[in-house]
Amino acid sequence: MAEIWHRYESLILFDPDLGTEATDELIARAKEYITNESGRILKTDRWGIRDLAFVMKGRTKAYYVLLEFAGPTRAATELDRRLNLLDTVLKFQTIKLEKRIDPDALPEEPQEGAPAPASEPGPTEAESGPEDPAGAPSETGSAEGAEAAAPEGASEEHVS
Amino acid sequence: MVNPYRRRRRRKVCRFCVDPSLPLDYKHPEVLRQFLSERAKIVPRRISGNCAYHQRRLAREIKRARNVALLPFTELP
Repeated sequence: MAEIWHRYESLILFDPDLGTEATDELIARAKEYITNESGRILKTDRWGIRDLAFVMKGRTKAYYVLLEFAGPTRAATELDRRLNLLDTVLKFQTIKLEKRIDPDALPEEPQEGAPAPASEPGPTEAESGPEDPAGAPSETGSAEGAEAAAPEGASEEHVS
Repeated sequence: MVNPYRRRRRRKVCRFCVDPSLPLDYKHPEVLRQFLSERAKIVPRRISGNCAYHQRRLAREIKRARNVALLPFTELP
């Protein structure tokens, strides 16, 4: 019996002033962090540059990328750890979508999805379903306890 | 006995129960924003009419959205 796998989703806010190549490279790096820990990328969703709801680290915009992946816990913690070290990442949030999934039953879909419309994160519907299995969704356990103190699954975001 | 001062008000219903297709998800800030006050506070269940189940979820998703700057923590009216 190998490790227990979970399904995660990570929304990463990159510095908007980086060039396209630099952003692409960072995204590829973030994926590597996951795959190096035997995780699997399920979906990549680039929302593009969006306005922030508040000023964060002197920025009013950020490049949003949503990564959905599956893997053992260390894949998620390693991703969080590495993202914290990058100063080109404004912020990120990893959420556990589904616990204890079967790694063999995963759909084979490593290719990158078409860039999503920047204004509307609508097409990310697919994974909103399993988010509801009666309290099952809980976030990754490495709470830094920033500001949020949400009941039962405080989403922890890690400020980089 | 009918209290003449009491006006009949419309019964509030949970919008997420009425319309299960309404996404309750931090990735849909435009939906969540409808449950924020002018100062970006979460509207209480008493006002919004949400059921307890969905209000809990709603609060969680709003807080997640705030963490990634999709929704404000506070705002001036």
